[in-house]
Amino acid sequence: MKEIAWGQPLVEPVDDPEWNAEIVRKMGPKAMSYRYVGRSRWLREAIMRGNTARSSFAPDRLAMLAMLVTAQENSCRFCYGAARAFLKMMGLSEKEIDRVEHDVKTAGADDRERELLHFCRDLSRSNPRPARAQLDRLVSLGYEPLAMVEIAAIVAASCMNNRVSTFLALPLAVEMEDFSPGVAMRLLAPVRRLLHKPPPPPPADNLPREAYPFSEVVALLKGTVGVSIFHGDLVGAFASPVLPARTKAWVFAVVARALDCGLCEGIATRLLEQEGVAAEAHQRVLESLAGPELDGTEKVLLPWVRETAHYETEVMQRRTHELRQRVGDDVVVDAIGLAALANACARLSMLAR
Amino acid sequence: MTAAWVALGAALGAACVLAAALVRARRRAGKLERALTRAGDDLERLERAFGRFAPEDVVEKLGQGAKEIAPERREVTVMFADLVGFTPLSERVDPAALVPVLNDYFRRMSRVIRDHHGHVSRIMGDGLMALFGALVPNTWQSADAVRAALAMRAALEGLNVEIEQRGLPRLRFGVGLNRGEVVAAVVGSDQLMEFTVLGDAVNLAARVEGLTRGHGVDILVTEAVRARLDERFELRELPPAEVKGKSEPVRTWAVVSFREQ
Repeated sequence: MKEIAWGQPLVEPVDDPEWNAEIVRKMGPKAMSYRYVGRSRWLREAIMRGNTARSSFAPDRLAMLAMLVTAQENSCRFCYGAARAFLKMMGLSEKEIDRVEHDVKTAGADDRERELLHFCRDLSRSNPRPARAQLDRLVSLGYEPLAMVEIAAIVAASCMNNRVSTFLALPLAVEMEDFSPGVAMRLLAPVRRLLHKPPPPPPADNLPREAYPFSEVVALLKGTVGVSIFHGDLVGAFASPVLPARTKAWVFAVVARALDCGLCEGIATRLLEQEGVAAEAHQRVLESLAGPELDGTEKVLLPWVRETAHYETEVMQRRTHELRQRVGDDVVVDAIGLAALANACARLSMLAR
Repeated sequence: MTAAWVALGAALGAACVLAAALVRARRRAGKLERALTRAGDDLERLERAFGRFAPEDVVEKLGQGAKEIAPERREVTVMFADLVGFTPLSERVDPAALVPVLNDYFRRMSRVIRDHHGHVSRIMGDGLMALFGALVPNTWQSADAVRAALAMRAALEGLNVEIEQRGLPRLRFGVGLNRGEVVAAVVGSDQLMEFTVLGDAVNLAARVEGLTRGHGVDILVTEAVRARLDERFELRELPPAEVKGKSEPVRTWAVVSFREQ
């Protein structure tokens, strides 16, 4: 991963003592690059949720494999380095991590695990999005159904994190990529591992009763930790005052069109109708990513949003810098979060039958 | 007593030999593991590099040693671009001066095509075939292809300024664009294979490129492409023309410009 070109940070970091303390408390001092997300409250909360939530059904090893595969697929050096550093803090030796990495590259020795990694790759790429049958096949191979739903949620959440980290070009801390735990950390590792038990499963019906955009997608994660992650992300994103509701709906509609996601495009269409966009205008805009119906920000934003579905790191970082020059820091950070979340939702919707 | 010492010595000796063998085996395993990791890294790099020329799943299957990859039907926009009058030029101008110009041309065009979500599938002499929507499904592929063609026009103009300064004649190109369903496949033999597309839509794009000379324009699109362009694209309809392999004359439009909003 080290040969992947990585640009300069998109925006200046925010010096917010409250946020800095939270980063250190929940993710450790090595994660200070997340200061660069600080200017968007909902996005920083989403990043924290995504990074600290733990699966109840999917074992840690599978969850980490899913995250590593996704970071590799999205060429996200930052998340890849972070995942490695996290594993080391959990007490895994360099050798053990190399073995995990090796399993990621060669898909391990176990047929069942190979199928699982294949699914993670396909979902991350979404070229095209995998069918629900692919996940059902994993269940037929003996994986627990809710564990597989959690794996899909982990891949989707990682896709979101990878996009945020890549588009913001979060600075790569050399000490994170080459992080080596000290003697005390090594000695405490077994204790840490012992304490690091999976959380108890959430209630079988853990869906919030309130109405919020894209709740249909979150409902697909029922009974897993994915509900609290994506419910929080969506409620936060749509409550953010930085971009108007119509622009947010456009962002989701464009990503849905790029990834051929009927469920998300249907929901975005309803949101656009509520915002007064006629069906005919909506189709015309989606076909051209332009039109007199769009405001100045939307006109420059939508062509960029389509790029977020599939991208090359270097090109995308360059284009995001160009976008920032036209819309400013606050809008660009919020837009990155929205587009990343829309990408996660479009991937999650493959869970629908 | 002596026998006991001998037995102890033998046991110690055996233990030393075993320990040495274990250390050697461990070292060898470590070396193998490092070699495997390096090979894995190389494979990853290769897959990433080849991902620019063929879809990721195709690259992956080839990397796993697949002999045959099932062809697939895809909706793509095909672009053919050819330099006009390059062959007679190559007879007049020293090849040593011309080859760098040609390479510079391909480098600039490839970059523009890539920037617009396309990829150069094949280079044939002074011509190229590029595809839009072949590697990743792309609902905006036709607009991307036409904007790429316009950017290629601008890039060629930039190249011509430099060429003229070197005392060489200006280059001109013809670009033909068509959209349709094609068969995407890996074709070739053990010695040479490529990921490419086949079908009538490909042939028509090549024919339309040929029409640019007769019409005296540089960029031509078919009805299938025009139908997917919005009003920001300024087009000029040309008289229908006969092309080989088509019973009816083909309607084409010259691309004039693109107006940003």
